[in-house]
Amino acid sequence: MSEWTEALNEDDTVSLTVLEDILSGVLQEQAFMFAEHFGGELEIPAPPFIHARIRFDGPFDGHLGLIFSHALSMELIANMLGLDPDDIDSEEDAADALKELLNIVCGQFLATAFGNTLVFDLAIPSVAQIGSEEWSAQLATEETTALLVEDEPVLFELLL
Amino acid sequence: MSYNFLIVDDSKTARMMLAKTLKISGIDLGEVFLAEDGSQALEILKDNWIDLVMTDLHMPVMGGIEMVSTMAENGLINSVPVVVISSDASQTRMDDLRQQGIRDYLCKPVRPERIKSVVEAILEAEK
Repeated sequence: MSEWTEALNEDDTVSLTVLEDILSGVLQEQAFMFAEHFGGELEIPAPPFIHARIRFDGPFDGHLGLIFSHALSMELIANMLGLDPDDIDSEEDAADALKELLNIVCGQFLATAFGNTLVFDLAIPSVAQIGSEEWSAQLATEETTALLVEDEPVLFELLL
Repeated sequence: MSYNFLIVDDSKTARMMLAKTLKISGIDLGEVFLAEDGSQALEILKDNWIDLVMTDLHMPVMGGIEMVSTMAENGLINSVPVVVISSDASQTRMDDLRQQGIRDYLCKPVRPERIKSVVEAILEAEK
């Protein structure tokens, strides 16, 4: 097992920090989007939001989640595919891009946190559209933190 | 000589990104076939000449592991090279799939230069 495993079990903050680093790296590499940690009071972006989740089962079970505003997810897919955001008009495509991003982040997180000798089963990611109230409720949970992506708060959650 | 590829991934984003990467890689591309799961991929393989399959693992209907097992059972994996491209980084899983005959296993995200070198090495060996 990796050096992170013990720390992960002892301190949720460590695991969220690991996840934050991975998410920042993947966003930068795949979508040329820059992310930074934000610990202050957040202003809720314009709704609606897309909440993507992926469950993993194995020696450790849990799930990861990401919440992007719809507008930012459109920018995400445009950057991932090298298209103009105006050329993307499908809600389904925006959700699909977020699911793929989450899939990549989850794989990297599990390998970083637990090493690559353990076998995890990653479920197919799911998505749901949520509003401002659900966004605020999610932010208030212990397993959720925020990252500023292109100056807009993105929420991510980790439940182990 | 141009090469036909089959990309198998349930994510449209992933299929488009990989197709785009192949296009800009400089590989002599013929036709790029797309499938959303292993079952669709096996149907495409029945009716078309494919030089190389690139597949994800975790997909609905039929995942990549089941598809590779089927191709190993019917011997197809010996004539059509398969490269797994997945976010699943388990070495144990990679070793199992290599034993079944896949040619390589790349973890997402995959850089274009990595795909190019892997694909070229496999296609060169197939000549």
